[in-house]
Amino acid sequence: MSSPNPIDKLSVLIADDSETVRRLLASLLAALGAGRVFIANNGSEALTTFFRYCPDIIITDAAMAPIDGYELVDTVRSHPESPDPNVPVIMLSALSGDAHEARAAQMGVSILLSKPLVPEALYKAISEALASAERRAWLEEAALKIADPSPLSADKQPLPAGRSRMLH
Amino acid sequence: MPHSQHSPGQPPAGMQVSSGAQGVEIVQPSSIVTRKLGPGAVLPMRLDPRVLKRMERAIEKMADSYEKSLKTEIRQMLLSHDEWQAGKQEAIHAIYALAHDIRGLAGTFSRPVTGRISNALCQYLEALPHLDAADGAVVRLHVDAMFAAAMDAQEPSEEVAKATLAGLERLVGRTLEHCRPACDPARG
Repeated sequence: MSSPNPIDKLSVLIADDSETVRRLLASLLAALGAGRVFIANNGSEALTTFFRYCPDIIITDAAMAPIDGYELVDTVRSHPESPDPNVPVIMLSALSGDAHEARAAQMGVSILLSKPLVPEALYKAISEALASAERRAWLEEAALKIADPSPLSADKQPLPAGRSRMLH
Repeated sequence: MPHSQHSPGQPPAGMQVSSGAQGVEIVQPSSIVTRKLGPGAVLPMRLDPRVLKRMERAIEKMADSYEKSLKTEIRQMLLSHDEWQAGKQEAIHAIYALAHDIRGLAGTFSRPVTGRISNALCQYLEALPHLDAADGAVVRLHVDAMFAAAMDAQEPSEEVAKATLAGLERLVGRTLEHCRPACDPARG
């Protein structure tokens, strides 16, 4: 039987340049009982934390400096030393429109969550982001097998970044 | 930076490989959901009503502090507007930054009307390649409307909110039509 609060095992990285949003998300995740919460003030800090602690899920703002949310996701997905290229990513933003959505999809964002933030939507986004990451990982595993049918050979190379993005 | 790639020739942690009939290989990739949430976890997750209550209480705890911060931000927008009208061009960026913050947060803290007016202001500023004198009045009316909506303990009714937003939308339309021929996209 599953835990009544499955999120208690999750470690979550928050990246947002607004102190109020960081406090809000940290409070909501604490109320959810998240196992561990890492907080970053911008994309640059978020990348350092991601490579050091490899959190289970990332919740990031879109517009930040010096590294914005899109670049953060792109690096997480495509850096050769990324500890988890398939980590679920929720992009939280007050921006709307096709250009924003297309860019987020292109970079590999799992779920777009529009502000203002409401508790049910955050919980649903976490659930959907995990499902999205699961699908993405399975597709990549399958694509790797098709590209190289020999059983788990030593020379397996990661898919080109463009390919994996097309699949998710 | 730590590596998580699996060792050459070895399956990644959690991946099961077995040989089926007629040389067919069955690969069971590791489950991200199991790894992150523990065995037995299923998606979609169900939100326990008690957890939802805890989350709502967390927002309520922050509400007073946000109210103060919202009022400070709107007053700052009024000051920045005065500076902008006095010739300090960068003040409009401060107005946009404050409006962007408010559109993202006000709705969470029971200020949806303020958030919607703020969103209308952001969209207006985002649509313009540059600003001129006529925009001063449009920006000011948006900020005044936000001030009116946010300063009372309760926001205006939905009817009043809709009428206010519709009025601001008409003002934006007229300003763009009569004062901003340069905004014609064909003319850059």
